[in-house]
Amino acid sequence: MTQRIDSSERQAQRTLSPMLLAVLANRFDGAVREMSNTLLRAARSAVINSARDFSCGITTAANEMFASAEGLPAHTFGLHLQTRSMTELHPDLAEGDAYLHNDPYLGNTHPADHTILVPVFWEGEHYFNVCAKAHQADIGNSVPTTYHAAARDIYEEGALIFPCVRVQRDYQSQDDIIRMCRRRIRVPDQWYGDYLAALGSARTGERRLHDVFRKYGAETIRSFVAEWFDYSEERMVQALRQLPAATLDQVSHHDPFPPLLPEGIPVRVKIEVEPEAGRLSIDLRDNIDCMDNGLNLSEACAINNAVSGVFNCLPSDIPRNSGSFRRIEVLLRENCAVGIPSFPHSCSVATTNISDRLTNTVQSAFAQLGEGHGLAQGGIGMGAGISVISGRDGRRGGEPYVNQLILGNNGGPASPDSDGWLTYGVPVVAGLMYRDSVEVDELKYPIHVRELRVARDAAGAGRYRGAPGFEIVYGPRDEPMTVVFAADGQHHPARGVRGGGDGRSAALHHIDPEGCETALPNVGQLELERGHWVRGLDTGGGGYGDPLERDPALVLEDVLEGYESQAHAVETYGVVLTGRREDESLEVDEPATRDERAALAAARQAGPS
Amino acid sequence: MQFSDIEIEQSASAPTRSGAFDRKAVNRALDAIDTRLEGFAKPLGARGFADRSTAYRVSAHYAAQVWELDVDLVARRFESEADCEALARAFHEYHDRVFAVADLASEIDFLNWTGRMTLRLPRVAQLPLSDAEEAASGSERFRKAWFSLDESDNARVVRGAELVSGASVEGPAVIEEETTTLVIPPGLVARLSPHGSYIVELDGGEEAR
Repeated sequence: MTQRIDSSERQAQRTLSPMLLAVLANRFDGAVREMSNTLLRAARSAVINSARDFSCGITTAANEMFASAEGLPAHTFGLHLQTRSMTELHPDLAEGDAYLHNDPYLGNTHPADHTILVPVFWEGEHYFNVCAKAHQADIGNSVPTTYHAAARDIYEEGALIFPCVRVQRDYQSQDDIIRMCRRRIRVPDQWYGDYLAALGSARTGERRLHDVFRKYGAETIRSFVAEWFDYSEERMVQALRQLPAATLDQVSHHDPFPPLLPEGIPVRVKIEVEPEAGRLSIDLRDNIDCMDNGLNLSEACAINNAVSGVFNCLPSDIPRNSGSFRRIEVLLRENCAVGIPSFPHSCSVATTNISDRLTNTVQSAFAQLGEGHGLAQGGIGMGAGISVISGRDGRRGGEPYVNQLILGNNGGPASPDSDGWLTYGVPVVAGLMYRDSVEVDELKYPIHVRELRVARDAAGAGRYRGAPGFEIVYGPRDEPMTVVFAADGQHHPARGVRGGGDGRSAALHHIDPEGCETALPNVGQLELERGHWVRGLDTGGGGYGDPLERDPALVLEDVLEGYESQAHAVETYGVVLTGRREDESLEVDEPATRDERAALAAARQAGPS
Repeated sequence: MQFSDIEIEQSASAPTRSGAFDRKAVNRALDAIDTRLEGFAKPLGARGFADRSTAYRVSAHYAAQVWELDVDLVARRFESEADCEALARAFHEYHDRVFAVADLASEIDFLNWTGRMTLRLPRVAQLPLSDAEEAASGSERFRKAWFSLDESDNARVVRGAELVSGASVEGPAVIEEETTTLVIPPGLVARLSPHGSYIVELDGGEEAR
């Protein structure tokens, strides 16, 4: 797969017109989009049908990542590892089969991501696999959350693990598996509906690929696959040739998780950029061994979130498939918290916390290449508004419910030429998911959202600033509610780069009926009675470049929009405004701003006060 | 002049679940829809729109889903349990067609009911045969047309229905279609594409629509 193809050979093999290449690339992405639409619209839990915490993709029969459209890179980049386990474990693979795969030791991201894999045949030959991966509302863990951070091992985690298990043969379901899940997974009807939605998504993908074969024929498709991979590889080579040669070392920390590592959990990357060779490698081997908790990465997460960090710093139209991946090498070792997990270490929280830090570390390391390169770090942590809630719904005769909320939001990182994206989420999502509707959540679950707002003065400052995080207050309607959270970002904020400031840190509070607030740690479980609330403050994204170089007009706009207070504009950006926000007479006082900026720069020279 | 059929929709909300289907409430909603449709259609009946029909549909989803599918109703009213079962069956089948799966054990929420009435335009008789014969005989029609202030042109008049795919009409010309008229100025050429569109070519082969 990593074999180098000489560019003259590549030219000689090229048989399809550039137009047909583009049309077919979009046909395959179109099939993925139709799969995504099916999964979104047919699913039952809000985390899938409203927040879109799922991804679809296509791999080749040779288990290369082929098409993923708008799927989350954190979900899709490892799909080829999963289909590889399918072809290896099931030599009798046949048309009409479907497999359920959530095994983090066999290529899946984490156990909550149930993936349906379907091999696609045409005229008896196996060509592709379609994959539909969705984050479930529940997977039968020992506690009602799909992120069991405290789990010492997979036994304490308690998930049902499906190491690529056949669930359909000849298009008929194996009901034994369904019955097992219904006995173990909370709110079984919700799970079954979500399972069917994923199955429907995969079967829809299969139908669409058959349409493509019918129209273009197997020969053309075969040529297309080879040429599209080569084109994608060539695009990656060209992009890497634009970078300076360098070795980048960077360490970030996930917040401490008592009693482990009081300074936090280090995430180390060493990146070799070789523009001459058109190659890049990311070495993750100098990281700690697997931990006795659920934060360990799976192999898929270690690869895909490192690679995501690279893609975030390159032109956005490079196809994300095994062709462009040929030029990126990720070096991992066994039994490593940021590498290959050793059984039975738990990977329950693999897709977010350490993964978010990994993507951040890689993209911020690129900023070391110089002005115009890299990104700041994005806001991190699944705080109160991204926790798993469960309990019984008094409005529906005490029916049980469980679901992950996607109401909270961390701010996006600043780039060399723009501010951070407001509805970013976390780095592994990077704005690709949707956000829940408060109204739909309140209708579906007995929750009352009292406050939800964009926090002020919370973004990492910079020539371009990060986006601010959100603030949320919610509680149960009548019956008690369990809230399980596995957050990050109270100790180590999202870092700014090239002189940019850090985003604001996270906070989590319990509010009692008298209004007294008690601070809570990043990770825990809360039983909220009626009248009790939880307040969460999500993190801001880091800034890029010196805040004193930010265009004062942009600072004025931020004050008018309410992102920044007037006082913060002076302290952080040295921008002095005159007039009043209320009557829209606010303006930049240019001479005063020049003086203020000169004074702030001089104070900086004199050292920290 | 009215060239198309008239369609009118009326909706009413009557949420009900398949396991405890509220036939009365749903039939009441359908009655209300019919009354409103009738109120719209009645005055048009006097103006020649006598041929009419109504189709009904309901937006529905499986319990806990949030995106609806629109399913056509088989019966105009729900008289028996069998009618309700037929609707549930229609939903399962439609869900299977759109999403490739059905959840036969799941309850279905039926939410919003819609009636769509179509009032058919009285169909115009086809052109008399004599015109077609005239075209076949090769005799062409011309009409005086002014493309400048000073002088008139002798514009050829062509019936669009008689053109075959790929046929060209050089301006000055008038192409008469059943519902529109195309004027082709001098120097321009109209060509009928295989998909039935007119492509008008300017001088030098530049294309305009």
